[in-house]
Amino acid sequence: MRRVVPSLVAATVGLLLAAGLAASPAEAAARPTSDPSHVHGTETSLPGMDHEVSPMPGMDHGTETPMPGMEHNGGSEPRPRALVLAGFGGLNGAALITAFVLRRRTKAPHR
Amino acid sequence: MTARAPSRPDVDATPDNTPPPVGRNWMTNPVVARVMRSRLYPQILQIPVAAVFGLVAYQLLVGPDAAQDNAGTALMWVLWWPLIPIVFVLLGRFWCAVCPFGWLSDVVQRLVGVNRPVPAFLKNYGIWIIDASFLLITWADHVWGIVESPWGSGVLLLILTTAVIISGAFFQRRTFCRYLCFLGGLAGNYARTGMVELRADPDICSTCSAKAACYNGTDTVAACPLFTFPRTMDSNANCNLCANCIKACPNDAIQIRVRKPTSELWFIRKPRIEESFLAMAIMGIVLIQNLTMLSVWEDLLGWLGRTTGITSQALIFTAAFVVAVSLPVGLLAAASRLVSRDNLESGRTNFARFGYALIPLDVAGHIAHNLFHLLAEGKSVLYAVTGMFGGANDGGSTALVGTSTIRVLQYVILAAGIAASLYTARRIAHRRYSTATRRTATLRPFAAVICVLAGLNLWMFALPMVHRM
Repeated sequence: MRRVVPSLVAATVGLLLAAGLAASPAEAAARPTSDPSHVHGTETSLPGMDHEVSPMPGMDHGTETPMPGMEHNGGSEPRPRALVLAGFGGLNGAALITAFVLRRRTKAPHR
Repeated sequence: MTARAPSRPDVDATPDNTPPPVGRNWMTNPVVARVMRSRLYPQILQIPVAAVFGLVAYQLLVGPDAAQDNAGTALMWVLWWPLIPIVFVLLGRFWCAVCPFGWLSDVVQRLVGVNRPVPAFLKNYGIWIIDASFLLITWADHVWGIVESPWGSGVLLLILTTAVIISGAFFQRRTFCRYLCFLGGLAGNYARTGMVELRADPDICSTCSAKAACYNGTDTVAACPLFTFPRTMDSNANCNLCANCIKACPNDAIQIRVRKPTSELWFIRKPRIEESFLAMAIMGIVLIQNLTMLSVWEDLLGWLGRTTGITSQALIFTAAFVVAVSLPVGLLAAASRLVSRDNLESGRTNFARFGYALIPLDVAGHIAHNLFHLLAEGKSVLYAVTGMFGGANDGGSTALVGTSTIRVLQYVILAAGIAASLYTARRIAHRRYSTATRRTATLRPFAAVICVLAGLNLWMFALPMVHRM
């Protein structure tokens, strides 16, 4: 355990850094840059908002922070979204059917 | 490492071995008793919660793509997420009793459940999986903008739904909730600070012949969903107040009692290093969440870009995330190692034992952070929900109260958390060690860690934050 935990932590940190590096091209395209000129109204975009508080970059009206694969003009394409939903549906359906068949075979009592 | 003897002779009294105080039993109140024994509880609360969850999921997956127009985003991240840690503190894991994922797991289990035993791997390492998944979700949120993206939030819900369905289909009871749910892990830690506890009366249990009906259930009442035996339970971490045990117990031995806030943390008999690690990880998450909402973060990104040429926010955030999570863990580990010279315990034992003392500060930092979202962005919930029914946004402020009011509230909550953490550390040291020397030598480094982390939080909350909605 003493050796496993540091190894796991090191592996996790390494994976995170690698994933961060891998995510950067898509992220750079998707996320607004930190350059203030790219942020719409960093001062105060909503009327009545306190002056000390500014809207988060990317959260202004008309700007968003999409996940990789999403388009800039309002979400991902319908087909990839439908595919993702179908994928989840298929996975869950497969799990339910497998469990149903196993239950029929073993006739496990429900608790 | 060689341990050396304390520098001063042991001259103090014996350690504080008093048992946890027993608070007032609410089950003597006929209304509370009737509610808890009712067959409608908690099902009658699950229905509206599941309905709202369905609406949120629908909005996230097929609603408007802009977060500020999406009622699902507003309900989930501006209303529910800031309120949930407050519920954990007040009512422990009560949310888990009405959680739609738990309800879904029960339904799947009833329809197709195979009811396999929980794998040993999950029993041994489940809390580490919770720790890792909590960190991973926080990291993914910042890199891919899950909170700011309705579709991203929807996909997160789909992933959780899939995990719940698979768990419910193949394993016993609520395996996912007990061993895999990151929110359950968070709830378990925070519930320890709460003022409500469900416990069994040991005198009555010692004469019981009902074959652990409170744990195994009966023909009409389901078993404990979180695999907790009330007779030996000494923590709120794995009790969701579903009241199955109350209904199943033939002897009316189960009590719901009030207690002093954080008092459970003073009496933990078997501290676990993974739970202490989770407390430290949560502290790191609160720190990084705060940092990325400050203008300092933008300055840091700009400075790094100019000096190193690194402009990838994902890479910089990942590095900052690792540092932020490592900081509380490293500080506690250093204090634990330092103390081990004086209190003659291993650094690992000290880490496990005193990590719990940081939980009140965790809770305070988390609530104070989320209070900003709730109070500075609260009206966005109203705007988004009315917008769903065709209502027009008048373009007004999203704030429920002014920034100065929010800041005062944040400082009050933080002050309470700091005081509670320091007091908890003191109680743990006094309970564990018999002499003034060991108590003081043990307490000082941990108090210093609490003060450093408290100072960091106070500094961050003093700076202006940016809005999400």
